[in-house]
Amino acid sequence: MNTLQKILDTPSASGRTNEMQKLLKDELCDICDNVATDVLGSISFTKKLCGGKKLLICTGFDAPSVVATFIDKSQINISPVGAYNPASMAFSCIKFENVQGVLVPSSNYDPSSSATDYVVQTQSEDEAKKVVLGDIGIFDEKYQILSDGTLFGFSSSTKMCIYSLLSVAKKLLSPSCTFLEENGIGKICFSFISQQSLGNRGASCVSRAFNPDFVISIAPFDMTEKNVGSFDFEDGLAVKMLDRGFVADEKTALLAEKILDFVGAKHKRRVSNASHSAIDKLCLCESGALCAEIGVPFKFGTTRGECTKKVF
Amino acid sequence: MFFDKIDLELLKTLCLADGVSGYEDEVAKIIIEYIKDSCDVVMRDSVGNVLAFKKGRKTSNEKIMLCAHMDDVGFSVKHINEDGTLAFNQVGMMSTVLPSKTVRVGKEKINGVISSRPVHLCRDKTQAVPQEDLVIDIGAKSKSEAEMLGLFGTYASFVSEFRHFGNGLIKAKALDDRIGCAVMCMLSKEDLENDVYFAFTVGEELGGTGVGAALERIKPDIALVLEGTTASDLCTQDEKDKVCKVREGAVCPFMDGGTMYDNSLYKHILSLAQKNNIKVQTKTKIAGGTDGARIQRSDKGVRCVALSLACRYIHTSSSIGSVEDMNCILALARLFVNSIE
Repeated sequence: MNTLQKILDTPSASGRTNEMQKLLKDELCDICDNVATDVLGSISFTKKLCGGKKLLICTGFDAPSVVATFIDKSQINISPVGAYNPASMAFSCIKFENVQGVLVPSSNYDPSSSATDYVVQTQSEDEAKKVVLGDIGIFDEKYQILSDGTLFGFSSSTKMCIYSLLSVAKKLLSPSCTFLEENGIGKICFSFISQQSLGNRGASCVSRAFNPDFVISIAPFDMTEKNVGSFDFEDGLAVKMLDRGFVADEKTALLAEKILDFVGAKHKRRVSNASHSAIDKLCLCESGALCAEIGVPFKFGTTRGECTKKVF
Repeated sequence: MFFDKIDLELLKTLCLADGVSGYEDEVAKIIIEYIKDSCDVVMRDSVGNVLAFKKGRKTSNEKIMLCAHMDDVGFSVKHINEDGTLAFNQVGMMSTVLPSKTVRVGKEKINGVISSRPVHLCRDKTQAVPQEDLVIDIGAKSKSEAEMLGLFGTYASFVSEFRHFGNGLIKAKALDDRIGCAVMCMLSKEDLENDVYFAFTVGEELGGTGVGAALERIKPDIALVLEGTTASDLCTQDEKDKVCKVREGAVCPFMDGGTMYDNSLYKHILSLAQKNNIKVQTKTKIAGGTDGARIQRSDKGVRCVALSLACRYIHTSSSIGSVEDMNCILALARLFVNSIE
């Protein structure tokens, strides 16, 4: 099975990232010196090289999910963990640890209802009782990949970010690669950050733990945002220079572009007035880090039809 | 020393003290006086947190911090009106709970009443008075008379008695979070298994302005947040929306609006409760937030869990909690501290 398919098949909800952590360990452990997880569920792979500067390349790796809050006969009341469009996600399969159900409206279907107006309908009262309050339920949805690499499915941009970082890590750490040393990088860390879908909660802990000089964040980039100019999947990845929370450091952005050239990914610079990334938290390490962001373009975010495209 | 029940005299003293966010001195003084002889270190940091350290029988592998906030909801005086009334900002409340409540203003504790609109003048009797239309009436004749009292920029706090109420309940202001402060004060006098850092924080109701400074100094590995939380458990509310219930034991949430609590510590507390026959419940709705949000994301990440008192009418002048639930929190907090390896 190819790596992207494995990532798509592996659940990774905020606070419950064990399965994805295991997959990433299988992929990266052999080519890194050290692997560490933190209390929020993030996982980081580090490698020491011959150079002076420390570079962190990271992405969020959790998808929105639901948490069981109340059991009412065969129905499980839930709260959203992270943002999703409830009307779009209605009638999706939800998988708790040992119980499956379907997300249904608690009364009449109304597309304007909020996420808490939905419940998970299970097969029976006995089935529902197997769920413990606080259990996380994941959206058990299938992904569609078209022959041109276009990917459809809930939180597909997060999956593509994981895939992109993994691809970058493998190429940069391949035995014959001297790119990092040539660019003065003495230590590199690839971090997959948890609780990103809950407002980038895990970012600052990862940054403080590694204390990088430079951070390159790989994050979903909504190409349908207003005021960002035209951007298309054919443009490749977006090297973001500005958003509401940060201004990219020019040198770090150039480094990000060099990395993308090295790994063979098309890219184009963009600014964004609307979105807000994790960069403002990632730069807050002991000495302060210079930051840039690579955006993985997507559209129809937080819906079942979220769409992105493979660039590697 | 060992407390098998909550010290209600201490809780009363704490609840009756004024401690609106930003003005926690009165509460801090009571706490320092209570714990100064039982802790190895007691200090007040520059933002106003009371921080203490107590040596236990051993030093655990992970540094343990208990945390409760000293501040409670209230008002700050933002303007003195021409008629001598005080315009105010509120911290952590809805304006619907304010009209005609009695308050005291500033260090001088000047009596005041929050205004209300006479029913006779209300066209729509179901409509709440917007907060900007409410003022604190201190009985001054004029602006200059009110100005002479030096109340501009000061705080106002609810006036509310501490009462035993019904079958084993307490009615008071500020049970959120003087209960947490009381539990920590009491534990600081006990012989505990492990070293413990106590953080009595300021500014939680403002979004956690104080806890950051406490974290910089203590740098804990594990934190237990002691809190008050929303109980909406009357018959007028759907079962699923009750959040938690008074008299159903200590509340151990798996998640709230700001934090996904550490799952292993959450399960550990439920297990301690079960083994020791202590009533515990969890929240059936994701609501509210605690200092836990800041704590968990501090430094390289801190394992964090919470124990809360189910409070009816939280963030009003009359919150209600159960004494038995308080005893459950005390017992579970102690077991938690003593159980860390």
